[in-house]
Amino acid sequence: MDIESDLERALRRESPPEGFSSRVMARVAAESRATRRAPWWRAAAAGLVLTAVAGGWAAHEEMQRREGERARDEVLLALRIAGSKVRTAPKQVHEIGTH
Amino acid sequence: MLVRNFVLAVFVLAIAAPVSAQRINIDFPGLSTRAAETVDVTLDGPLLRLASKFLDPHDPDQRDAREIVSKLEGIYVRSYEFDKEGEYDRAVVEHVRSQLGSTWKRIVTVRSRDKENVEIYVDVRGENNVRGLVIISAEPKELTIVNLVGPVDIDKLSSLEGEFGIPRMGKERRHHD
Repeated sequence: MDIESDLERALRRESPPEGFSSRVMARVAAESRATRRAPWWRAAAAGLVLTAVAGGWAAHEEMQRREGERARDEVLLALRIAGSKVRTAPKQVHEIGTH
Repeated sequence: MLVRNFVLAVFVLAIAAPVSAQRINIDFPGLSTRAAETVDVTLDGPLLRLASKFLDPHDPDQRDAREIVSKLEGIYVRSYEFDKEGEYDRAVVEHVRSQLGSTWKRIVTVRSRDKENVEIYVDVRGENNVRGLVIISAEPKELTIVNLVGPVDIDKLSSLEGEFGIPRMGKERRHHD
């Protein structure tokens, strides 16, 4: 057993087989294409989530708007009633109202 | 720990008391069932803030309303219209009056035998510092009670033109078949 000659044989520089580099490059390109393209269901799920969030936000805004308009109308109604009652005796009210 | 919680509770109550003192109980459930038309407005802090966002600052009346509302802590209105005279107990008026403490001053009394009786009370803290308003308007077929909680500019309130360009709404008509 000659260790030196064994090592020399094992570490001998060898040329790759024919077409090795082109096969490696083709495989790398194929894998990178596969990772870039997300499965269709992921895109669909993301779309659904976005639609649900946007829809929820729009519904919330609409509810807020309706509630606000209703509150505004109630304020106006209440002040109209209060104002009309206060005006029944404007002179007396004016005396304490000026401050 | 217990003492600290107690002191904290007393402190919170002491702060809350002057505010809650201005709000009075104007709910009389029996009245709304007998009334032909009812107005029930209950607006407190968050709703008032929300309402003021929807008041148009370019409309002169709504601008004034917005200014009034911006200082208020609560608006409570109960108005009942009856088909016939004598359908509500005058004790209701007394019940409202009895809740008004020593800081409340009556500033207006309008009495009429067969028309409208109006009483206006203000909660005055310090010199001319109006912190609340109660209006009691009793007619043979109509009873209206208004309670505004918070600083009230009575001049501005009385100067509001009244219609605000909105239809007469909010009265809930009840039919007694």
